[in-house]
Amino acid sequence: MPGKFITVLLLASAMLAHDLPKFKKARARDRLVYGAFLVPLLYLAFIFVTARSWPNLDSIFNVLRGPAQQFIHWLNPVNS
Amino acid sequence: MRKRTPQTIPSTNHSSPHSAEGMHSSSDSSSPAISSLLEENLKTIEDSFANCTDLKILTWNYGPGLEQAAFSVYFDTLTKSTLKHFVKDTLQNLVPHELGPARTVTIDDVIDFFENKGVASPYVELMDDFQQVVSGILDGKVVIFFNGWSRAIAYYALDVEQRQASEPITESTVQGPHVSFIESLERNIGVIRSLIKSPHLKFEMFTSGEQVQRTVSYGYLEGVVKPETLSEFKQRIDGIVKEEIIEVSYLEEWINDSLYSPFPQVRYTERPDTAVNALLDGKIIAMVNGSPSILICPGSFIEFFTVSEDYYYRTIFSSLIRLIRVAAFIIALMLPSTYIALSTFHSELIPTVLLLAILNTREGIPFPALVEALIMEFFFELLREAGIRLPRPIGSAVSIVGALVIGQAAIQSQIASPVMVIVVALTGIASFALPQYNMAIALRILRFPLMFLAATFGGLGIMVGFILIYLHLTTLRSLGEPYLDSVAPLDLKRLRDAIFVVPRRLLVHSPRSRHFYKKTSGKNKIT
Amino acid sequence: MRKQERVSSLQMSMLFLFFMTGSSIVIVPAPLTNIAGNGAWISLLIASTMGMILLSGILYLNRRAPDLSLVEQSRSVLGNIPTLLLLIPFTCVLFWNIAGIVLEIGTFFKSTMLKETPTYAVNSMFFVTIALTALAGIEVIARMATLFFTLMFGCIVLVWVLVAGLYHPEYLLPVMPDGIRPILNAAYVVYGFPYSELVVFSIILPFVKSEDKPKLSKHMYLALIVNAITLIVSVLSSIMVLGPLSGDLKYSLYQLARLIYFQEIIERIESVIGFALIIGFYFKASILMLILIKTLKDLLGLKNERLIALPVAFICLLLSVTTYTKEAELEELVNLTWPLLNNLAYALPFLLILGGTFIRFHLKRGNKQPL
Repeated sequence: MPGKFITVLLLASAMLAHDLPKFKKARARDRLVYGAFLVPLLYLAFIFVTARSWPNLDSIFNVLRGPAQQFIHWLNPVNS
Repeated sequence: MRKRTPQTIPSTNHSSPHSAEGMHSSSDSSSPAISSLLEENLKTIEDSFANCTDLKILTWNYGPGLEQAAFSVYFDTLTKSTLKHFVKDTLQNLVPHELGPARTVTIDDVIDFFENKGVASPYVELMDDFQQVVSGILDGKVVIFFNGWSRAIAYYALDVEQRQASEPITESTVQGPHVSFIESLERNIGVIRSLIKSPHLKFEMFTSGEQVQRTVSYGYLEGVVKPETLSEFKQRIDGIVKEEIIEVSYLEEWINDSLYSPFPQVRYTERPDTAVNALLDGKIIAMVNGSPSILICPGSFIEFFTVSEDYYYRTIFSSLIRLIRVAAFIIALMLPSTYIALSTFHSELIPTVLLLAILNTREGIPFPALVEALIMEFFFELLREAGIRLPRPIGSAVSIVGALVIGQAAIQSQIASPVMVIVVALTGIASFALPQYNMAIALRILRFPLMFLAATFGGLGIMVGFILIYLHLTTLRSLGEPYLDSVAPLDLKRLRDAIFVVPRRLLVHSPRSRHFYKKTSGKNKIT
Repeated sequence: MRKQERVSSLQMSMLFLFFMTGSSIVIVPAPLTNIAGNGAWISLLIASTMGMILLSGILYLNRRAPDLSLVEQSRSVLGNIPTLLLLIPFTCVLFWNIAGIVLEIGTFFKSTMLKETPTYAVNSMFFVTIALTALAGIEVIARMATLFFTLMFGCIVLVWVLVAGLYHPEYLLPVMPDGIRPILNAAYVVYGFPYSELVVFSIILPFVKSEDKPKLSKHMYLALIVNAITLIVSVLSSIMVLGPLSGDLKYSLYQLARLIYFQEIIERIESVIGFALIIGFYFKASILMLILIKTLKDLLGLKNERLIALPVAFICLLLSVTTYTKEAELEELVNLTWPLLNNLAYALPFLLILGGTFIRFHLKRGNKQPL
């Protein structure tokens, strides 16, 4: 956990250091989008550092498991 | 050094007594005009050059009854001692016969002759105001003021001791000319002009720096150099006028595309034949009065591995030597990190017999490979830095003995293993095999991050480091040209001359004429 | 991506080749032979044919609207709102696509070479490199491609050649022991990864220089063919050396490299081969990152898309360390869900846009005729 936290912190500071001058020059719309991206970023960082299994993109993908399974079964009854 | 406090003439400020340069007037038009009264001029000169004891003022008289007065001003330290020549020659020019004590010349003769640009020997310049006079005296001219004339004449008499042109210190060759450039700009340009006899060879000059007033010159071969490159260069040079240039490498900061890249974007040379080769290739060369190095730009990555000697030997030999240089580059960059990665992470890659030998020698060394490597590298860098400053007689003895003793002692005290000493020594030697010193510096810097990456991530770290370096090199530009010019984007025709030296007869597109731009067609075309 | 960045059609095709071969060459042979046995190469033929069809689709779209990216074309054909709706899943899957590649790299290293290093460290290092590469722009990426291409394909060919001593051609028979069904199944899997992913290339096809556009089709098809051949030969050599085992060992090419033994000096060089193969992953991820940033720029109307490059990369990094952390889950995703997901998120919007363009073009044609 401490290693993860330090890594995330390092990367975040590097990112901010790199982007801050550009951010100041950017248009309002770009800034808005940048801020919008920070939301999922913080969420993901949190679940990474704390190692929780909260809903994530794979939960959405896994919804398709059922239909996919069925299709494969139809295609190749031998498998699974 | 960069403080510029412009002073107008006359001033009461004093410069240090032993500086040969006095105070300069500011570059606006407020410099006083020369008066026709000799005493006033004398006073002005004495005021502006107060405390410059090497300034000599000689008063002398001429004309009927030796009543006409004049005085000459010059820097003793800058000029020839054939001073009286000028005085006599000046007056000699004015009469049709051999002159005695110049009793027949009058001030009107003088004014008449020089104002109407009479032919004088040696060549005479007319001065209108004190700014010109002061610049002239500082440039090594002898200025003569005449009573009753509001102008002055000047003769060029600079004579400072110059080094003899001999073998270039850092670029000696076995075959090829053994001349080098020296510190005089005119002489250097002269050498190049005698090697390229073409009206297309252009040299442009300007002065820069308030205090140093250094003449900077850049040359190019019109029709061969790319117009965009030239205009880009001129644009960048424009900012230099205010800077105090001491050495030609000051120009590098203005010409460079990237200030922080470890890789150099310009080349330096002291050899005329290298300069001539560069000009024929469409490069721009820049030089500064007082410095024997000339700067060649734009520089591309491949060029840093070429030497003009390559073209003097047989092509097979030159190609092999070039390959050795490329290998030297790779070794200098990657050998320590490869060793660390191999010994720590990937021992299976080393053939078993060698591995056993290495492991044997690494027994009992308390440090991990990275620390060992860092210590030895640091030693080596220290030795190198110290070796530069040692006086020559002691230098070689200390370096050999020091290296051997320290190396041997380090091994025996188990601080380093023999393999590590070999690795470090090979790395050092490899970096010396590169013809351009500034490229070798780049490698010295880059070696260390690679070592850290190797120690953390093994071969993967080296791979990532290599990718990052390659990425950096691909984005780098030199005067707008891509740095990896023939490698990426790949241009096989030009690559032929990059790594392998191809016999010139076989080159369909000679690298010389590959971008000869025809002026007449109006559009840039490649012949 | 600065203004006016243009690449030649050859460079674009090389990027395409890298894109298709980069990660597939390491991962693909194993699951295919697992499912289809000796007939895996037939699956590849089927899947690459489907790839060709998709390729002709994106080339057609590019011909119709040479300077418009997919998003802009979609806006003009379908309208703003449908575009947004269709392309949001597109973008989300694209995010994960990048994460997935780095996830695969991490898993690859964890199971073979760097067993102790934590995954997030390796992934972070990769993402820093990928972000920097994507920031450099498409021209730089295209320029770097040549050297990397030589390196990677050189290593691949080297492996094929050096293992030649161990080839047992008899392992190739029987070709279809269980019938056509497993082959179709495997074809479906390899269609999912990598062939259906080529749809995203329609985002960056407009970057080709105008004078090169006529030659583009030829070069792209060539690239796809080279890709198919490379994959097929890899599958074949894997079967010929490992026989029935080839389905059970992951990372076939790496396994082949482990078997190389030449005069006691060249042995156990699989690490070197592994590192060279990583270039393919890294490059594919960089191209994908470029595509993602361009998509976001078009979709959200950004002026300076390079500003969001780093947050996007960071999000992908975090995705790669939070999703599918178990190897078995990842395998299941690739074999099971990914083709369907791609079809829905990539192919479906694309086909709609394609259809819309087709219809509109022919409507216009029809309108002109009476005149």
